[in-house]
Amino acid sequence: MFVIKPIWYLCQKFNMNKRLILLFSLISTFLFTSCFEFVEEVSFNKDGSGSAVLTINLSKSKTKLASIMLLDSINGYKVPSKTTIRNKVNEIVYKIKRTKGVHNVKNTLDFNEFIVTVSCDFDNVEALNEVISNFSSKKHVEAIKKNQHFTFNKVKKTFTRSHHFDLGKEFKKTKNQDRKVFETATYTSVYRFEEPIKSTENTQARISQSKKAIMLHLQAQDIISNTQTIKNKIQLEN
Amino acid sequence: MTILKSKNKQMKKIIATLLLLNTFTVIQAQRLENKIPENVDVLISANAENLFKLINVSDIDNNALGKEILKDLNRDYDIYKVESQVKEEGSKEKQEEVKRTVSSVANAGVNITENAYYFLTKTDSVSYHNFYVELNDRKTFESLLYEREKRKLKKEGDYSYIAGRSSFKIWNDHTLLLVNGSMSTTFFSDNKERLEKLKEEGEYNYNFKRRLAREWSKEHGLNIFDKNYSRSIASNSKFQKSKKKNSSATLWVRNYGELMTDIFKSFGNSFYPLYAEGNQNVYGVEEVTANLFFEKEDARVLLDMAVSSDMKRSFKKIYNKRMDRNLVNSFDHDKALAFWSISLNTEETLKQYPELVNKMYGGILPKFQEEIEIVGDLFSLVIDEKAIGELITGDALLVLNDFAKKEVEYTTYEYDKNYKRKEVTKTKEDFVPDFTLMIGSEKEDLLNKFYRIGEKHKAVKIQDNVVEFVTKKADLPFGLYSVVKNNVLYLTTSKTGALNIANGTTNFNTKKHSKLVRNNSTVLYVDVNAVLNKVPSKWMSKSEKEALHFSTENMNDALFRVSRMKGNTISSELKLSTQGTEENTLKLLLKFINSVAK
Repeated sequence: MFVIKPIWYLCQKFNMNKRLILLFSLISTFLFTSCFEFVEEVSFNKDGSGSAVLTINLSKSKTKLASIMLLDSINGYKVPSKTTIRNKVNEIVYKIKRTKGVHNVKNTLDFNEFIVTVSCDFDNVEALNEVISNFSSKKHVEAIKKNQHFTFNKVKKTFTRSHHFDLGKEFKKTKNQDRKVFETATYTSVYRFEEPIKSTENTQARISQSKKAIMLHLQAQDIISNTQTIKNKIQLEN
Repeated sequence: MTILKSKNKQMKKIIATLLLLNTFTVIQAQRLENKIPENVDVLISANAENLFKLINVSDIDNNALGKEILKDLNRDYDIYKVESQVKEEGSKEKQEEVKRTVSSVANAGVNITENAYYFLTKTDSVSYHNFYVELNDRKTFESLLYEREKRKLKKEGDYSYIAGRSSFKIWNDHTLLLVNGSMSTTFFSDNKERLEKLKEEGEYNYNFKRRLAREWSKEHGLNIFDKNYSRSIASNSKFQKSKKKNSSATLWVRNYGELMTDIFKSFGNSFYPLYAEGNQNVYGVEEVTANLFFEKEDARVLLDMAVSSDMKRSFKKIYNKRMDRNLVNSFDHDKALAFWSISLNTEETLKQYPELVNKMYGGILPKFQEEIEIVGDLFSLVIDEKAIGELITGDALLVLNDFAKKEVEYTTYEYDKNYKRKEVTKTKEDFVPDFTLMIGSEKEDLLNKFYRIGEKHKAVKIQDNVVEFVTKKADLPFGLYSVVKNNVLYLTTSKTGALNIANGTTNFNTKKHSKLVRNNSTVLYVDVNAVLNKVPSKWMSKSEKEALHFSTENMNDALFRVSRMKGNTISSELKLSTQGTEENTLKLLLKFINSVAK
């Protein structure tokens, strides 16, 4: 207060500065399409071990993101610095490295294209589920343990992909302005197996020519409105 | 002859009656003003007379807002209906009341065609928010009160009152006063021991404070209700002068600086422990008045601030600068989407700074007056005000020229027939803002020296007198160029723009905003429609498209400006200009409310 007071009359004009930045950021939010891709790729070996790569690609919105990074805050949220983001990613990677049954953890963080990737090898599907739980808050960990994200039955040769939360419900909680971010977001998953795939429950998933890979490509809007789902049950040939 | 004489007499009678009525209405309009003491801290008057020159009562009734109010006024009746039918059946009087419904906001018992007033009175212990309106139908007003309030109704002589949970209401046949009191935190903590005795057993502090505030509000309300003061705001020339002709609402603050000081004081001693002594008005602003106008094409708020005499000299020197023409003429006034201009005298600001700090800090910390003075003297000694004033004259102008389409590359993925991922680069169209920032500077040589050093260290590239900042794509989503010319430092996102400035080949229309910028110390201007039209409609949701449609049909631009000092007053104005599609901007506002409410 003591610092602000004697300068207020000098700065009463420069208070406009904040208003202008707000104006600019509002215009930016308006004009630039928000678009990001979420990609998960998992390769499974016969014994249930495998490798996974998770990618978040915000390259299509990089112009907008570059301008947002110049701001202090947007839509009521504080804009994190590059250092903060790097630290957060490192934190997650560290946790993943310490997960039992997980090896060879690597990550990339590209601030030019705004792409972040995390990859690792896992001994079994339980380890993979542990990795997923690193991305959620503590209260969800229990729910994850109940509704396993991934399951792989070596005997029956079935693979399931599920999730523990109702995206639709979560989305309803987000503010309207924030929802815009998901308007053109996409989700892609590719699972590879050593044995050929016999069938898939999710009708949106497509099996490759070689029958050893299956891809699901959805619009975030559809997942949120529950018209499509990422859940799937895949049956491999016995 | 006799017929003529009698007609004459009739005419005289009519004229006499009209004159009497006229004086009567004038007296009526002033009536409430006679009941408000002149030493109030804040006063807001809703100038009904002017408002109803712009709209009719039916405009409000038919508006979404009016309908909501009527719904609320009438809803209570349904509840009352049910309750009365359950409780007392057959009471004819009650049944008659039940049948009455409120058909117009003007028929709720409150006379909305007369001025209404809000005023703030403060003591060292409590702040009272008071609200005065005229009543034209006491019975209707009383019948519209909520049940829980009616139970607390007390009648004394010709007036009634309700000491409610949060406010105190008192009224008679023609006037209604609402009082809401809030206790000052400082007072409460300072007089804790004395007040503790008034506390009830086991009463929480919060409830105790509220109870005291309620009791004091009642006392205050009973004291001031319907009393005519000899020194009221009706006789206060300062307030009367502040009410501008045709203004729909007037805000009057008797002494802004004092008010702010009091407010900060009331927040607690921890904020300003030394505030007990010292200058009461360290803000330098005394009387503040604001008026709201709804004109044919413009809706505007005009604010006038009176600067205290000891600060006046300093402020005048700081604001006494007219923007250099070189800046004003360096952008196309017709094409600009928005701009922000500021013109201060840097040299004078730096010169006045020590004195102003002295007055402010000295006011807050009178014990350290000498120490603060010496800091100011050292400041003057070290800083060469003139030299800095030459480097930064105090003129600055930021212009948003356009939103330009640009092809940008981005990375995405493609999958082969076996779903193996491949990184690919695609392009898309993006909108990048094109803006120009101009800073007045008489030290061209010094600036050029800076840039040459920058070139040496590879921070910038200089070509054709245009400086290009070397940046990574991620740091800045657009390129940045700079030119130093005509006592102006230019920074712009457009390379062609920079080249044109450097070569002197600009061809701008510079008439539109010239006077506006040069006659005010700061201006913020937005060509609302031009900006919104730059947004491709495919990126907008349905409600946004509707809002855009409303804007393109009705809006023009928006303006905020602060004037230079005139006498001891600084004026500030916020103006929204429309295309004048409705009879006046108040009707346009009602239309807007209707379209939003859908």
